[in-house]
Amino acid sequence: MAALGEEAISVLPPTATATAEHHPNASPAAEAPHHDHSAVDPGLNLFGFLTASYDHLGSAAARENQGKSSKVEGALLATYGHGPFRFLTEAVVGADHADVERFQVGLELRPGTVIWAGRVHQPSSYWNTEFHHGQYLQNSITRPAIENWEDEGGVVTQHVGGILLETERSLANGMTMRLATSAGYAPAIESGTLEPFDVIHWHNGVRHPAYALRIDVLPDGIGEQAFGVMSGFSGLQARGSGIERLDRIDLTTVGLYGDIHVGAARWLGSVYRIRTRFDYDQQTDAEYATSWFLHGEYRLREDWMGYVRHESTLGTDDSRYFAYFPDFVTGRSVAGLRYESGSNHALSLETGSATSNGERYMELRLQWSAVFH
Amino acid sequence: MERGVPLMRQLLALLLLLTTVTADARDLVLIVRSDSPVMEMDSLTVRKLFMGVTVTAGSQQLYAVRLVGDDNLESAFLQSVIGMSAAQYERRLLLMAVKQGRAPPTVTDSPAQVIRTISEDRRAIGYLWADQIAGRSDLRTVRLLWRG
Repeated sequence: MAALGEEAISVLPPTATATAEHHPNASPAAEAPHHDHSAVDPGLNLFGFLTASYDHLGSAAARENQGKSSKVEGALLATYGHGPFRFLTEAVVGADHADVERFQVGLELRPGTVIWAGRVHQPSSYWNTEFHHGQYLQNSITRPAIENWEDEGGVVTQHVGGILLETERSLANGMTMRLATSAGYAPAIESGTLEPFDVIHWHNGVRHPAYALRIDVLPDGIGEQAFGVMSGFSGLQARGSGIERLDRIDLTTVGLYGDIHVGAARWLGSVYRIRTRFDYDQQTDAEYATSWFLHGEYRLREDWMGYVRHESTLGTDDSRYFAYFPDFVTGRSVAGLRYESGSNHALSLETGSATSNGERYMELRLQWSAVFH
Repeated sequence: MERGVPLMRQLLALLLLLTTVTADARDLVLIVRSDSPVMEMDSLTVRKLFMGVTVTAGSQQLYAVRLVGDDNLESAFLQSVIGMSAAQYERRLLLMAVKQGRAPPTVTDSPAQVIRTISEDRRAIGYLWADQIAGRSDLRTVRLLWRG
């Protein structure tokens, strides 16, 4: 048995049929009105994600911040498409919280181009655009701290209330270019965390604008190899921050990423430069930080995978912005094993060391994750 | 001459063997409706289509029809087109659906359904064994995907 290459086409008998131009009356709409959209319609798709995890952290402060060492969390993702119309919502439910993470309606302007409105994921994070909230989709248990969601101690904007435009274009050389950009309402700093725009409770108060952009180059056209640049700006409403006279913090990020598959290995890395500009009554000043991570995976067998990751955020020691998130993990090295059962269950074990608030401690995590659809 | 006879016999036996193999070989082909705007499709574009990436012909979005249930055909398809295991492919399609709410390829376990879907819509592209569409003038082969 052998796969045939490009030259294989030459062994076929010549085709003797015509293009649409030769059959002007043979438009799909005219011949198959019931298939104008139905065959390419996504229709209704439901995905359920379940995660059960146990974490042991070697730091009393980290344990206190973490809360319960074991937890069960579920996520429901629903997508619907009919004709050019799209709808997507994603809700996460845990023992002590329930959040609508995404709630967006969309219009497909042309094949491969969709504009969304609602609460969306801002696109200037490749990791989160790749894995979203479904823990099963992400091979490691933890995600890089700089990619954490706002309600998990994240320090940069991940959700906005506004619009998101996604488009992709195949190039003649087989490459694909993708562009995603968003504009909307940024989170506010409240109660020690970033509070993103809430589409359900609608008590968002004063919000400032947020913009984000990511441009991807997919040399293989599919995304097993991907490189890109990303940038985001968020005006964080800071009157609830507890810092006297601080009205607003402008958060600007510029980053690069690469995602490369080489045989059984995958390397995914990102680097961000982060600028925070503080806006007091009549005075502004700024500070800078740099965050990066490199994540490597190796498929040992069809159902076994090993992974390692190192991440670091520099410039946090004297930062007033990062001081607002004392539990933020500024450095972490982890290694893990993941066993996949079929195409919808995974059991993962991850261990490593993390540094938070100047303290270095050991982490041990065990997680079962699954997807149902 | 004395040594030539066995050699000739060996060559004939080899020829007979090759003929037998060829007769048993099955071709996996990419098919469209006969009036489809798709005249040819390179292997990368075929892979993109079945991986859930948007592929168009002019302004029309094409869609993929996937046949499951025939182990040999599925194995040949995964090996020659996708280059992934079945589990990895399923996971990839799941990611595409979750990320952008995209429709995965239409799936059927019936060759007749593949033929029906493609013959009803010129934007549909599927794959079958060549002998399953022999003699059909309403379908057209775009590409030989695999020969076994």
